[in-house]
Amino acid sequence: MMKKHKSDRVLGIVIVLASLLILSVWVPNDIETGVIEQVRRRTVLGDSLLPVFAASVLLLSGALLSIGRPSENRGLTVANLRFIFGMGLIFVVTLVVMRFAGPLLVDVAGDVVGAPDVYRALRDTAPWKYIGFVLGGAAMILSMVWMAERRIGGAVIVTALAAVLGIIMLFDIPFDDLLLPPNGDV
Amino acid sequence: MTPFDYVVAGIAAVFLGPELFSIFGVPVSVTLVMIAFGFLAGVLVGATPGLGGVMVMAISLPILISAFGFSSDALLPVMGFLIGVMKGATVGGAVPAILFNTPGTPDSYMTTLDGYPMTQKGQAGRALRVAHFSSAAGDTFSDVVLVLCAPFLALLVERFLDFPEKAALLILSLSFIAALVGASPAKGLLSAALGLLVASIGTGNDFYPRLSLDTDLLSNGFPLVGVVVGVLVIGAVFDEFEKTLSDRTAAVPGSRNGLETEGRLTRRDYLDILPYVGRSALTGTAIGALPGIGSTLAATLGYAVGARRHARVAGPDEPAFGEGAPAGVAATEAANSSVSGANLIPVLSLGIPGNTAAVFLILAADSIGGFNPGPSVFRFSEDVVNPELVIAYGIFTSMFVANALNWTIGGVFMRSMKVMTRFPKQRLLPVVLLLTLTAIYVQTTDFAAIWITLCFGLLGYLMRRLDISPLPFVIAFVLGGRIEETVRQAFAATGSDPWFLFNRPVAAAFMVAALFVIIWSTRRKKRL
Repeated sequence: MMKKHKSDRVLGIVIVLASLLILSVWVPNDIETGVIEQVRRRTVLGDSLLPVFAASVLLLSGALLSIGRPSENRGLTVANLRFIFGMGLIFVVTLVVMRFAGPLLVDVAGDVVGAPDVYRALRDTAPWKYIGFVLGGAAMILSMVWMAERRIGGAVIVTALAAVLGIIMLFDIPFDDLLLPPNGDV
Repeated sequence: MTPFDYVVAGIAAVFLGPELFSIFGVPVSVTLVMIAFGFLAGVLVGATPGLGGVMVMAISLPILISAFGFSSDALLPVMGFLIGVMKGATVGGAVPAILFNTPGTPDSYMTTLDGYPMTQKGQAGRALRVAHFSSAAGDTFSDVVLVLCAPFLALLVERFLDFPEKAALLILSLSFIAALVGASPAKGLLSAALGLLVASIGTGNDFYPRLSLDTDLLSNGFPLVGVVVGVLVIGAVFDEFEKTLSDRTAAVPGSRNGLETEGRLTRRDYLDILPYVGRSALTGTAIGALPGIGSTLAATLGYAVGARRHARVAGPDEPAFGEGAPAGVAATEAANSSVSGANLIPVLSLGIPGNTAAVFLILAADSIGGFNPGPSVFRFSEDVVNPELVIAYGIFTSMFVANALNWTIGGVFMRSMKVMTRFPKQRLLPVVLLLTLTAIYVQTTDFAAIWITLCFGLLGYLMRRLDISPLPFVIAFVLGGRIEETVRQAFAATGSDPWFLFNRPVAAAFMVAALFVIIWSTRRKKRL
């Protein structure tokens, strides 16, 4: 027989509290009109209708969960939280690399060889436009593989680079109107 | 145009649409080629454990839209590709289930019960052929039901339902999905309510975008594609990737080869499995026509129905269900495949997406424009051509073209896909993740969209960990705006009657049914 857990009850209580907060604080303070409004002597439905309905159903579901029986679901474990933290770290670091590596290298190259040092002017010019995507993208794949295998071999590096080049060939080379990250933001 | 003219125009739009190339002077339309590509891609990902048709749809949508543009000519090639993926993935999912006891897609789990024992007995080829035949037969049956039912259902809705009834029908559909999908009705309701809440952020009729916290990020609302792809695709990737951390030996490259996939089916074999295929096709189609009820339930029920018959009629020397019975593979595959066509009945006739593939068809239609799935599509106007109806019959034609591919090349292609199971998941999933994030970025050219998608991916992951189905969330998010608009219209049309959902018999019946389905499913779950 599977072990029963109280995670659903905890989830239910959190949902009840959150929905009460939404109904009593967020909805009244962040929406201009109520559920029903009078506009030029006509009664119309206001913007609060959908969020109030959604939060009420949320409240009902939370109440049902909190009075329900313990279930087989373990809820979130420490390992899950560690996984979320690890993935979050990987995304923050690799997306920062993706976003800023290109402009930074262009800036450095401009200082060293006197090339134009504005990345925006080069964002559609190879190889500059690929710098951030290749470094950030390959770093993302490699860090995730490292997370799973705890080692990075030559084959994995080749796979990561091949995958990034494949994505470039899929999105960038055939289509002039598509911009790889981060070139639409710079 | 007569109804027959619309059918002919739909078929012509697929076969005689823009030409891509010609073979011996016979033009081959771009839609046909896209259906074929979609089908092959679908088999490929279906056969790869951890991947699914939804991922290909998410990744391919921006590429397809860039390639074909936003004109009405783009609709059929793009939809054709997505339909091909949907059908191919269903067939492909059986490959790793049979060969390696690893379901390629969740609905293939039941296939492992008899498929893998057959492989262990050296009958892998027979099992794959049974799976292919049953899958193609169930799928074709389901498509026939779709073509026959969807237009009539849509005509009924348009003729007999006014705004209050339509609003009540949308609420009934959502409560049905919330109550019956997932671990418990409370969690289904939670998922749907969360979807409605997210749909209301940054939208509304007021000058100030509601619930936006006065921030630029929230004032435009969340991008549809970011939310859907985040919860469905990124959430699933996180979920699968975490599983590989605890099961590092699951996919060692090169360890699985040399499996024999030869072995033909005799006429006797076909006759033996046909009753199972027929029963499962009926079961799967009936389940698929209900919004939100997925192919996993269909497979389970089809298997249970088949097992009962097998216990009654099977001879003493035949293997029982669960011990390598070909009928077990047939019952499961016919049931889960017959869901895919029927699942499009609610989306095409009512505009209510019943599964994830339908959500992506709506996303494609929404991105390209010119086609709004729903009852208004089936207006058989005689004086003026209704282009949406031509597209609808083009979609039906595309489904039959994909079926034809399935019957002809599907089996061979499926059996050659055993190589896909050699790719280790922990290396494949990071590539899929980067590919998906890139697909999101090229559509929006905004780094914030990547973060939003990742945040919704985290939400999708948490929902899976807490045993909450993400499907009610996605469908509520997609339908939220429409439900609100229909309720507003109904309220205005009934002269601001606050009881507009309850004082008309049909609307009241829908609302009572909506309440009943929630109460009934809650009590049923408590008893279990």
